[in-house]
Amino acid sequence: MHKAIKWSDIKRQLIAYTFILPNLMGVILFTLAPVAFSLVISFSSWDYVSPLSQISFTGLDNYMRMWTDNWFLASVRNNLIYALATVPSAMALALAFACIVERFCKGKSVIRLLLYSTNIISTVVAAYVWQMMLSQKGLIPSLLSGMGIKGVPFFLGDTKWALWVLIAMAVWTNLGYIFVLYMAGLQNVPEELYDACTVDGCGEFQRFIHITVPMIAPTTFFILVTQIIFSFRVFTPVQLLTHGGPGSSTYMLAYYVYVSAFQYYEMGYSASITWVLFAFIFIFTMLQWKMQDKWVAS
Amino acid sequence: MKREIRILALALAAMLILVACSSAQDPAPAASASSDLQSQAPQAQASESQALDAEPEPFTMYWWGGVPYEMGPQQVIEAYTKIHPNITFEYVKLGWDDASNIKLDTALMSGEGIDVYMPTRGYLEKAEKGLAMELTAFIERDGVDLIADIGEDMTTYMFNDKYYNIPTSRSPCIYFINMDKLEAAGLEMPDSSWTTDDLLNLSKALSSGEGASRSYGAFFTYNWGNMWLQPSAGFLSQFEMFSNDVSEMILDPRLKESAEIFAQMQDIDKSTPSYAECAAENYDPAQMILTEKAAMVYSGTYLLRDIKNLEAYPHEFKTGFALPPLSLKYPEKEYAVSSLEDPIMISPRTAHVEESWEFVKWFYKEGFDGFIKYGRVPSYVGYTAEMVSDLLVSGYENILDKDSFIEVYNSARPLSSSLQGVEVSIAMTALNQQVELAMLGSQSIDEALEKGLSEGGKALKE
Repeated sequence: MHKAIKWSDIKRQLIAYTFILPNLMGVILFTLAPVAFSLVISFSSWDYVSPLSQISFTGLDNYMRMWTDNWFLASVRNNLIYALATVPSAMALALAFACIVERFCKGKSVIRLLLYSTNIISTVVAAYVWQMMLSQKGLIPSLLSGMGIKGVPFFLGDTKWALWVLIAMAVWTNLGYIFVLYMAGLQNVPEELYDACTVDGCGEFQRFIHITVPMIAPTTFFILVTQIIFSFRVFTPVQLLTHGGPGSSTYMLAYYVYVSAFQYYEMGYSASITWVLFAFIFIFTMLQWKMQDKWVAS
Repeated sequence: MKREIRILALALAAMLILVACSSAQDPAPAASASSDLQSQAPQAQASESQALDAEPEPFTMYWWGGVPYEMGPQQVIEAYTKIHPNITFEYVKLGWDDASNIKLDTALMSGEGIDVYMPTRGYLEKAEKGLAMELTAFIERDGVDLIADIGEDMTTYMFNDKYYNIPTSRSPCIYFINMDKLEAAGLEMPDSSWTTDDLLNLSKALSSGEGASRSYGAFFTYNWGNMWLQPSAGFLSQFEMFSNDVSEMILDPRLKESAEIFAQMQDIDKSTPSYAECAAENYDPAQMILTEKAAMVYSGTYLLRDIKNLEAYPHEFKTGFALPPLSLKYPEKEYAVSSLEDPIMISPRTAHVEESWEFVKWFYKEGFDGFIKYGRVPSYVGYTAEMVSDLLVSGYENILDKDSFIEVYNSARPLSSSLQGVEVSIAMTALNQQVELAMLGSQSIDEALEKGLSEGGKALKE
């Protein structure tokens, strides 16, 4: 039996919608509408300066074309390597630091601030600092030469090293943020569990595996999901340090989206790459959601 | 809950309908521009004679450009406003990056606050997309002969055989040479008949030092993306790399010759910084010559602006100039690299059509002096070598060699220009990337040329 609709209910809802309408309009105008528009033009050919009347529908051409586009394929390969290298490295290092600091260190807040500072400085500044550190007379080549290593490469000018420089920079930037999250997670682990474990004769390693890791699983899950999403959106270091080079060794999906749209005036093709990027992120995130049922403690 | 979803869906649908409707109402700017022009040109004749009698109304003209205000535009504006005191100028400085190009495109689409502009890239794309006023009717009406005024290569700046811009400068690409280093090494300034063998010998002789302290004999402009191609600038034109209809790329033996010359300089003689070093250090031409990291630099004449900037780059050595070297293997091929640059265009939505055209006409023929002083070479043939060198060198005779500049300016070599268009740009990027991999040791030059030309050809066909 349907519930009778009262005017007072309608009035209450209208008032509620009126209050949220400005924000809702903003979301619709600046988020939902552009997303819908990008889906439409991903099936079209359009440079962004011609009038909308000159958008020509091309069906699945853009989606078919990208799989024979060497720059797109290089972007996918590089981005996958970047994500698979950056995320576990940053998480492992941050967790190790967090465990050590939580267990053994005094002055936790100072350490937290110092480590987090790499995350709050501007990416532009960080990129130029890394470029200076890696230049011929910079810190890293000087250290390596001082250690007796011959033939120190030009890291940013070497196809074998340029991508790893970006990965190292990403780990350095994100370490502090993940560390702070893990510190918070570790502080929520009940001390009694560790005491009980100690009484049962567990060592440090067993405490870590059987108590710490399961108890911080929700934090780990959150970090994993968000860091993978961020790693597929990498753009600024590529634009500033390498422009996708040398060759196409540091092309990334977000960078190639930008190049296609604004250098080559192929907004339709660029939109299709964006939707493929969305699909990658969506698939990764869904896989993690499925896996969390097994390994994240409720 | 279902009702809320229905309301949200309705709102979204309404938004999409609005977006779709806006496309139906959007007039095609190119069509409106040309029809505006056709309706304005005859009216302009009538209004022009009326204007001569009436007091000109004061207004603001908006001029967008990539040249810093105090390095040319200011002087031009001061000179023009003496003749037309009713006009106030607002100059908007553009950057040379993508973001600035997008800003310009947005302003042109809206038509607000822009009358004349000098885009930093995508000249032909602006015409293609309807973001530039067609000037052909004005040119024909006023009896302007741009081919005679500027040169045959003016046609490379036309779109569909129509004029949309007037390129106001030439950008000769030449060698800037530290004459003091030459003298110290007991070497003579190269003249216009010098060859790539001379380049190799000179660069080797002028190189010294090791590792991070090495000073190179030569430097090619890295951020153009085609360092390997620059040694052949004197005997290979970009036009010869493409078929006549620009539908495919041609494997010319001079491409391999150029790559091999660069490879020798980079790997064997070590007389030029390698691709890897340039990528890592982000070298630029001004830094290389003015910090004496390189004795010779191949770049555009815009470098003169930095050479004359003694505040930022204090130095005492004298800079001489030379055309790109020729090749003994291809004696019949001789080019001077001199692209037309700095096109001035009119916004299709300007409210001051006649005034904008009058300014454009005056600027390229009579008003370019201010730009010359800061290192830009005029496209108008009415400027002689003496006039240009006087404006350019005056006051800087101790650091700029006038004689070699006049020799370069008066060169009778045919001009080698660059092809315009997005497809050409993508094709060249594909080729340059493959050759860069060869220079980094990842593949041979032959493999690089084969792959690069194939991928470049694919880009032209798409």
